[in-house]
Amino acid sequence: MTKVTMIVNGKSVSAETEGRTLLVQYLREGLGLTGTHVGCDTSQCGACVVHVNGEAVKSCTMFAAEAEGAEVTTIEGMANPDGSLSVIQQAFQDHHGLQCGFCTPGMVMSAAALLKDNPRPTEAEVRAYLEGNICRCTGYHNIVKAIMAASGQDVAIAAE
Amino acid sequence: MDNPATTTLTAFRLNGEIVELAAPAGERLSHSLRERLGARDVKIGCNAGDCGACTVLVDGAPVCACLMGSHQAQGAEVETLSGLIRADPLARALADSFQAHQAAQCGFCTPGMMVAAVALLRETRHPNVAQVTDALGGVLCRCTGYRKIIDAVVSVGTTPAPVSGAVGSPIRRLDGLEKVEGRDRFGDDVAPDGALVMRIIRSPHPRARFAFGDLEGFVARHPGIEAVLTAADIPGKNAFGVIPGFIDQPVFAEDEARFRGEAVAAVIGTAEAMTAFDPTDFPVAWQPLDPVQTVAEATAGGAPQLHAGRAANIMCGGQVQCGDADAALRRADVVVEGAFSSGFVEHAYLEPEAGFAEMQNGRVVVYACTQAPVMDQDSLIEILAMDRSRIRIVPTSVGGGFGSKIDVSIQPFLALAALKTGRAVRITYTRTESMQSTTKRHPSQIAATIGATRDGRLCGMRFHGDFNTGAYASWGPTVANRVPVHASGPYRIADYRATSRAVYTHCPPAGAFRGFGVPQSAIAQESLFDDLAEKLGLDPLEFRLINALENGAPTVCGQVFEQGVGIRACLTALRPAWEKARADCAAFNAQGGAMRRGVGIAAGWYGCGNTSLPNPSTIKAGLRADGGLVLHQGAMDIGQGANTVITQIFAQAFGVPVDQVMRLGGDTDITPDAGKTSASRQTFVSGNAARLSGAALRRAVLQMTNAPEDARITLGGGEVVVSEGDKAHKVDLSRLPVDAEGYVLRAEETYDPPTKPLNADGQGVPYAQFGYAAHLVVVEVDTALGHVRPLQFTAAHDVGRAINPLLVEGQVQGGIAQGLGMALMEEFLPGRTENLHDYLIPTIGDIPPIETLIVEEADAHGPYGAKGLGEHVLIPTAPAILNAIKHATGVRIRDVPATPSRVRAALKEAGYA
Repeated sequence: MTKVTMIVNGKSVSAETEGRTLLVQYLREGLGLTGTHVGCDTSQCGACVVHVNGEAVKSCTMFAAEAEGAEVTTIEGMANPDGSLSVIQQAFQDHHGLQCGFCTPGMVMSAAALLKDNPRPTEAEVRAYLEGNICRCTGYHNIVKAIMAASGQDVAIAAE
Repeated sequence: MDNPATTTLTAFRLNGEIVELAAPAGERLSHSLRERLGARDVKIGCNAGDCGACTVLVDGAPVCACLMGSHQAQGAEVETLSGLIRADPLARALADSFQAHQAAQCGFCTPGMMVAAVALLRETRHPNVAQVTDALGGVLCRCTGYRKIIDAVVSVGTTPAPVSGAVGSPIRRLDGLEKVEGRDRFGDDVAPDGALVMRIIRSPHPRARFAFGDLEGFVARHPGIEAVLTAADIPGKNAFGVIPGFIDQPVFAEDEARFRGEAVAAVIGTAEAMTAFDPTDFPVAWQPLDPVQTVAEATAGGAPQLHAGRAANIMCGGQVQCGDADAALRRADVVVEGAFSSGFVEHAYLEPEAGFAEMQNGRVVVYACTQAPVMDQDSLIEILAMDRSRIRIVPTSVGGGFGSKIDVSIQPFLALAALKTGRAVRITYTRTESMQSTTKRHPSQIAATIGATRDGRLCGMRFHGDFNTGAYASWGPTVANRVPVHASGPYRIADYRATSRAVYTHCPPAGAFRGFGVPQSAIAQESLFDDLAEKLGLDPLEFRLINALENGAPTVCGQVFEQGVGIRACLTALRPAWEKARADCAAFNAQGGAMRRGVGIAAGWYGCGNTSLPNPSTIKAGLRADGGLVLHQGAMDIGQGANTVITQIFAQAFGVPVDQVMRLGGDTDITPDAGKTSASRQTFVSGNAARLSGAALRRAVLQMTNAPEDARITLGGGEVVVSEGDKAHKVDLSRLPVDAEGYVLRAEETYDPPTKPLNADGQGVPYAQFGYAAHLVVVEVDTALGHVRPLQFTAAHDVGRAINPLLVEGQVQGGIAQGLGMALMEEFLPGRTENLHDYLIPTIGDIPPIETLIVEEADAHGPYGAKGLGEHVLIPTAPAILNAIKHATGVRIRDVPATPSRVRAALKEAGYA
């Protein structure tokens, strides 16, 4: 066991952790932040995407120990300080970018990472960026629409 | 998302000793073991958990060290092969058994294989075959075909004592002990500490124009990155290749990349900087262009032309013609025809390309895994614009090659990097870049028509093959030339016309791969032979025997061998197994059900050495003043056993036991050119050079004592004793003058096989010898699922003389495994199967028992009658499997691989439920 310290959603946290503990286990089981979902445990589905030092990472593919000293943001840290939904979260809500909602935290985190680097992506860029996030309900169109809307762009996408 | 600033201290026991490790959290245990703790016996073949070469024991359980963070080993007991050999008598018994059975060929998978086997043996002291295949199922081997590994594990502790002896004796590999004890050193094992690390920037598109951004600024912005290499850094020609007139591949592409994975630049930096380096940060802008990736696209009107002077992207063609094929086919009683295809096949040796280079006294010295050190030197002379005297190639052990490591890969990059930085620079390809960028087997599209008369005699054959040669020539011209010569198979066909084309496409270069196109042409010809036999109502084996080539009968090239044609003997050797298998399959199928069994045979031949071109090998040997006998053995051992076979031949010719021969390797500074390891030529050509050298050195010794030719030579203690009957002459070597290399007597002999050029119709003497083969396989086809499972192989090979029968079996079994892969599962799709989980090669569970029947139809040109074998071993495999599927189900598969989906689709079309 080693002590692993990191900043999660702005708060410094610390826990004795086994070497094999994955970041997603540390977040869900150690800190109780169950908004980050485990859909596959093998990096295919993207439901566990969080931000580590500002970059989107599948937290099932990283050891907690690797995040020592890092700044980590999860879906629980995405709302505005006043508790209202962030622009991206609101856009998912407004455009029905979710159905069952299991993939949604990962989708929102990926979308946020995309818009940070590319504030006005094309539809093709959105679809390419989300290739690591799998959704089984929506057929993706409304997710793409939500992200386009969150970026302040016309939401009339080609498929409609 | 490594954060290099975060290092974790981890303590564990490594091979019994407590070690402390400071490494970034999340660093692979395999990397920490090799790079921080010096455990170079842990091999990395894929870094993705596919190959198992890095298997170590963690608290006694086998683990892919590449899939475990090293900090996870905190407090654990970690054991690697070298530690097991030191501490565990069971591991030493296993090593002995691996040696006795020649379960290691190249030796790259051996540490992982043996570690996994030790874990099994600790639990189950006497495992059965099923337990062994279960326990070793996660470790891939590309050389052996696994059967000797199984034999070695099930018979641990009952190993026969080593035999000694020269030609004809199944001695253990002379270079085997270091392989089974984890001491062998491959391309990634030799770089000095602190060497800079290089990574290659490659095109992500099959065809793209590109432009670099600010390269100097990029280097300046990245601390630890020392240099960038591009085409602008090449002092000589930015081109390499293997055949004069076809030197067309750039070291770094300029302006336009012609295949996905083509190198455009290299980045060199410290190990730490290169670990953190993200290739997407490299300043290059790509403009993708529409590629042509098939023969049809590349030869269509308006297709972009890859190379100037090659209209319609046709690189070259080949032709062999004798008699009048069209007229014969018109008078034939039965005629069959068919169109066949095959895809790219990846060599998938377990060792990715690796090595390092440095400057030594103004010379460039490259350490690399290679099949052809002198050809590497030839290429570097042109690329570096330097004299041969300033370039030295030091081959490391080679973890499999199968043809792809004949071409240069890392060598130019390393040489340029050492020149530019003046420092030692190392590189190891990732599995993906190895698969993307090195040569493949040519995809083929073949159409053939073959006729016969009612009495079963062949009557005319027409053949055309198109081969996708990828973006650059490599060995494509060789394939185009070899195929028409071989497409008849080892049969008498008086009226024959075979043509071929090699076509450029925006795909990885296709080059040399065990058989140079002949395995593809054999699929068409041997499948159609079965179809002909069926139409004639003849037994397929008898039909082949009726038409088999014989001494005194001309080949399709008009070449007449008066001796040494062994195909009839190979086919005849299969007859007992054939009759039994036919009866067994009939009995099995009589029970009904979805499972159907069938038996197939196919034959093959292969001309040893270059086609109608000079192909010399030189072998040097010397006797030192202290009585030491030294063999300079430059025939690269890539696992096939040249180190052992060449030494056996030399020892036989000189007249001492093999264990008295000290062997030096293929370092271009100390060993003359024994040619490339290719075209099944080393046993034949270098073997002859070794025989001549051994004989010459023997003559020199005998002359000093005026002893007769049959006198016995005994070495040792600074003297040579020459005895005849009860008379013994002693020669005190210390009294003889010593030359610059320390020898008092020396010999250096060259052998070049006698061939003659082919005329425009392909008539001439292409090869001094052919080897012959016939395979039989029993398969079971699940007609509901389309799955094909080979149950038993019987392989008859005419090797002229088996210099080492164990090595012969090793080649046969390994070749069959590769042929099975080509037939049933392997297809490289650029951009899609660039790793060992999407590209499937046979595992230990895929290879059934293989019986090897050694036929020895001695060849007058071969050393002690020996013929080459390396390619012959997979030529008949795929067509034998396809013929067995046909026998089982009545369905003819013409496109390989015969994957379950393809087989099932064909079965459905044929009316299977």
